Amino acid sequence: MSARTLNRVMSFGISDLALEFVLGYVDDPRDREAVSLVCKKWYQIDALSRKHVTIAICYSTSPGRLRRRFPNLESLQLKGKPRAAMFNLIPEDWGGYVGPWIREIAEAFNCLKSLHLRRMIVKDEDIRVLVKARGHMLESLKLDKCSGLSTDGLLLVARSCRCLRILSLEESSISGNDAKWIHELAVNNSVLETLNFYMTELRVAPEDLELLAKNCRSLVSLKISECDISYLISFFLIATKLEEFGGGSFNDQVGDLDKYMKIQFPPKLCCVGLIFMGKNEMEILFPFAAALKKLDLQYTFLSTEDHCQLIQRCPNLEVLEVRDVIGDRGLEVVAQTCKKLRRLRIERGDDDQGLEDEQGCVSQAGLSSLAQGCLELEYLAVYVSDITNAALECLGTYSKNLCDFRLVLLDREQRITDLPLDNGVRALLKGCAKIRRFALYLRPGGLSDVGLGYIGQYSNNVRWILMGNIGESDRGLLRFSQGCPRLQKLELRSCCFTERALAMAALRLPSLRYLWVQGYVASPFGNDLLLMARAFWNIEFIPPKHDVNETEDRRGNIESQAQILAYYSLAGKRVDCPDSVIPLHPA
Amino acid sequence: MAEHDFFQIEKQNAARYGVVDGRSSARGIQSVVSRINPQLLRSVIAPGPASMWPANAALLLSSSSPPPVTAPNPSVRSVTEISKETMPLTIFYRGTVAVFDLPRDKTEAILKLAETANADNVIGGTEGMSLPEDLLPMSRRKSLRRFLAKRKQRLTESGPYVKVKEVEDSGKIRFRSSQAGVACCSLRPESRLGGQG
Repeated sequence: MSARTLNRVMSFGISDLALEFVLGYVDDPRDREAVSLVCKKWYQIDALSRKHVTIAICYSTSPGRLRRRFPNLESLQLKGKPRAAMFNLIPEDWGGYVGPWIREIAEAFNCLKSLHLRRMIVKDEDIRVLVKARGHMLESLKLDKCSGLSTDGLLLVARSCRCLRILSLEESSISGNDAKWIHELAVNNSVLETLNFYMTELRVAPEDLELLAKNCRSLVSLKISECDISYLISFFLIATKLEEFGGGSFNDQVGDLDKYMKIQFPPKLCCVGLIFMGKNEMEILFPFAAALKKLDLQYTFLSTEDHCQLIQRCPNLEVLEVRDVIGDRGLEVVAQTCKKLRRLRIERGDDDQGLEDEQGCVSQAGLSSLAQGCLELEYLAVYVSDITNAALECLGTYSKNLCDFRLVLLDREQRITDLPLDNGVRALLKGCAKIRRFALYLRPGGLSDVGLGYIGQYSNNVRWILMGNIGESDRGLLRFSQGCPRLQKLELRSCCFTERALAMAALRLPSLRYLWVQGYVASPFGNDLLLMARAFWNIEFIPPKHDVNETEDRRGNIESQAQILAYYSLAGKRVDCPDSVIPLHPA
Repeated sequence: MAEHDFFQIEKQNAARYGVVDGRSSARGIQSVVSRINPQLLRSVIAPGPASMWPANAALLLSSSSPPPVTAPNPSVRSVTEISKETMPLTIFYRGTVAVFDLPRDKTEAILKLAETANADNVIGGTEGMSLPEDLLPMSRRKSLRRFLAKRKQRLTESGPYVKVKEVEDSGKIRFRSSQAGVACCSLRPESRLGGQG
């Protein structure tokens, strides 16, 4: 059969044009991937029509390769540093430079409207190149936990990107003290819908926000750095379409709270997170608490009782973020009140018990109540002080919609009620079949080798796993690696596995494309890691640092432990490694 | 006895002495005592004639040079020492008393070891499990760490009658928020009431 006939057969007699139209409706990246594997023609059509690509680690491919395959991209997401960078475990100069990508974007990606960079190093010069080439078309720019730029770069964006609907700088390290860029943004832009510089140290002037609200009538989401919200009274009156507000702060400790009571929030506001909010100030939320869908209390000064008081007024809450000061009591209130809850994040409060509420611990009791009360839960991340198998079994029984589950066992309590958690973990994974992301960070004795085997056995859908202090020996890891058919990304910390076992596991896991390990049994020269050497598999090693003061500061310096990073790459060896990173393969 | 002294003697494979300064409270000592592997202690300290014991101990002390700092086993504290060229190091355990004559650097090394070993804080249930190295301390998200540091400062440094606002000559109002020099609002008084619409 000739090639032409074969192609036509493969396309079921549908013309190319029709095929393009049909595939235009196929957005899901997994579907797109499947389409591209059917035959050359379908591969080509997918390549030319692909709108969005997410590159999970920027060193897995090169800008040129991306351009050659997907020249008409409209939206690109790039991730740089390993996730552990969010916990200060990755040196700042590790890599993730966006420069080469920006140059390619400037030259070739003529349709690009949306750029999302996560944990990358972005310099002002990169911004300059980007906005010069694409500023007139850019609709969405997200610099998420990035570093390297200054307010000068922001000024460039503000002046050149008049079509920008979304500008997000959340948690990025941006130097520079002036707030001119906000003013320029307010003056040059009239279509901005989302502005986010939450968790940054950027300065902000209230009058510039007021101008922004006046000029950008579509502004629905604003998250800022710290700025006393009593100065935003005018802003809130002007931004009538605002649905989400985060940041701000409450600064006055003595003196009238009336100024906060004078604030009239916009009528549609339903997503709120106010920094340093205390018991007295939280009353300003009461008038519209019933309308709240998203609430971020991670950066507040509320006690356990305060959490109870506030949350019981929020029956429509869908997303809640708190510290563990919420306690089991607070979780009881959540379970009774927030029947629509989809996402719950319970972060780790202060270790210094004198500074946190005594009731501020989450345990099996709170989790069990939560599981039974909030049946819509899709995302649960929680730091617990105590745990039992029964609580995990409860989650397995009730939380059928759970897609993302993360449990960290704090080392506050000396004795944990019920360890190891083998049976509970098994019940959880069996019961919650939709789980795609799973994290379990325990302590020695928390999960046996058998339990580790259960994780492998019952993680059919799981794509990402983070584990800390689990298992007893290499046997456990090897059992684990016999399962997890879809595991793409594995992060291990503080484990007892040898390099050999890690290498064997990496070879065995069929879908693994990314491995990060810190805290393992190292061989003298890292030789055993090379057991997993193979084509397209980059292995990088960060050797342990040996400080002069090692004996004194032995445990204090987290960054001093060795790390392994391995990932599939079509781009070959990295050329921008700092001295602290050693490429083992390709060498 | 008001104070208990413990030390561990381990051979080459897992050798270290830990002795501690006398500043820990009795309660702290007891809690650490409860965590010591009893088998280990027994193997180390036989309730026999004290005279035999110091000889072994002294031998082990002098032979171990820079002791590896990676023992997972906890040790507890309390010791007194008199400073001289070689100082007597007195260790009390379960009614046995031992006195060693040690040079200052050895004693300090032991004290340091005991401190770091004690900080390991291994919780019960690890008996029989050998950990390859120190447990890595759990790290915290950057954003949360920054917040907790700021919060700590606000709670500890400002009392109920301290005003946080500081009005400057220029008429700008700046807010002292934290050491980190957090973003402040700068507000020009004349524009305060403007911008309505």
